[in-house]
Amino acid sequence: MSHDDLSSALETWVDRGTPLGATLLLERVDEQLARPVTPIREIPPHPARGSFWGNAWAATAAAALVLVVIGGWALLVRSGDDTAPVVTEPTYPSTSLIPATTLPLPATTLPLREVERTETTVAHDDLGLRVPLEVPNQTRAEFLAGLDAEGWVTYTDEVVGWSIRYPADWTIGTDTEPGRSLVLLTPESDEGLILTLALDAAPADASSYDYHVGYIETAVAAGVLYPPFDDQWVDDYWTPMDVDFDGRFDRQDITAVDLYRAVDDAGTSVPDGHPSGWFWSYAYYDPAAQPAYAYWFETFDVDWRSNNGLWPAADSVVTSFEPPDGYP
Amino acid sequence: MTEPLRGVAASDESLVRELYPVLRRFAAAAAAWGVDPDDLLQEALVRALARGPLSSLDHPAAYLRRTMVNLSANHVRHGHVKERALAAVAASEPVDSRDMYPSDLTGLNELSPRARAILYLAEVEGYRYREIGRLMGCTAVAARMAAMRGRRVLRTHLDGGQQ
Repeated sequence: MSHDDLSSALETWVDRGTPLGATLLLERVDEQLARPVTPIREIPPHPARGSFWGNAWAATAAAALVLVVIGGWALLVRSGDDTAPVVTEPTYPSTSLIPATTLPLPATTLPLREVERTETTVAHDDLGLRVPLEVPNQTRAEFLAGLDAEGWVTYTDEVVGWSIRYPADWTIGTDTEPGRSLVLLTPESDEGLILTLALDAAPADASSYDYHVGYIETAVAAGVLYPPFDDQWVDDYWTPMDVDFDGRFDRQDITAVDLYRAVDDAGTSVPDGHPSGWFWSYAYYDPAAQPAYAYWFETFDVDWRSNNGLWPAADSVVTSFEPPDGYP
Repeated sequence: MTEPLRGVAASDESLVRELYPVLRRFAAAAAAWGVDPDDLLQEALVRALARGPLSSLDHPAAYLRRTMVNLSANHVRHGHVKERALAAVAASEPVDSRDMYPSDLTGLNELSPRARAILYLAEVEGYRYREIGRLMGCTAVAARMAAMRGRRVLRTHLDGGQQ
């Protein structure tokens, strides 16, 4: 549907019907506002049925209620005599790569949606959490130091103060309007990852950020780091994974977005079998949680074309770290 | 001669008169095909005025737009419930309301009120996504995504119609 076709259809859509006019509309609004609102306590009770069946129905309901109350009380009294059932603590898999100090996860650090997501990731341990990366074994500072040694670059958006880390052999560009989004291009230059990660400077009354991740599906013209993000380009080239993080973090204090690639000593992506080892994290500050900083890690496939929009994959893991160096 | 309004302040009255043409068109964009845009606008005005004068709002037009989109979304949700109930009751005679509007607009009716409103603001009113985000209470990125998804739905609809 071309721009003109869409505009035409929308024009037809909005021109339907005959406008009432402001005067008549205001009269209707005024009339509706003038209607007295009946307070709840003045609403008359249900009229008496006045019939045998009506009274019998009410009596039956009351009797049933009394029985339920008596039965519940009896159960409570009886249960007090019993020995408390033995509660078996969940056992952690001995192969877990997450140190004991970071598990179990403090519930207050996890937005509800994340908990729900982890329930879908049951794979091969009792916790329902897959542990795809060895990173959580380190403190974040140690991990970052290791990455720095491998030539990672930190980009800080001066508009909103966000930072993102990415491999040094990737190229990065920002939107035509700085502070809006980032483009990361792989060295191959024929595909790339666009991160539009809530780089908008959020208004003070914003209740949530929007997180969107897209990827470039079609080859980017040679020599062009990133094309301008006009609508046509977005429509043609930006195939968003249907991931909408709206509301995942209803907080305004996300401090950083890190893009990592986890590799072992031989340069192989970890964990075994994962196609890329790429993952990223969001860091956010939760003063109610201990530790106060928590990170959300998600892996994603470099072979994003095969993901069919199902990214992020099921192998996500949530963990938390001690407050990293450099944070308040 | 019309009687003076009792529940609407004079400043709000002039504001509504001024904004009416724009808001009415927006209401038409947000409302489903079977819903009278003036009804939607009226409902939004009543809700807004019940909370206080419009003139006390920083951006009354934006507030009313968002209210209309939310109300329209509620209508759609309730409509789905109603449709399911009707279908359950009259399973042998399914209710088909698709012929109520021209076929070339069927795709638009399948969009969410929010997506339709954003597309309208972008394609017809010519707003930039940053401005749309401000009007709709979301970020520019979210507005752009909603528009893009809306276009995709329309394209899919058209493709399906040609097959």
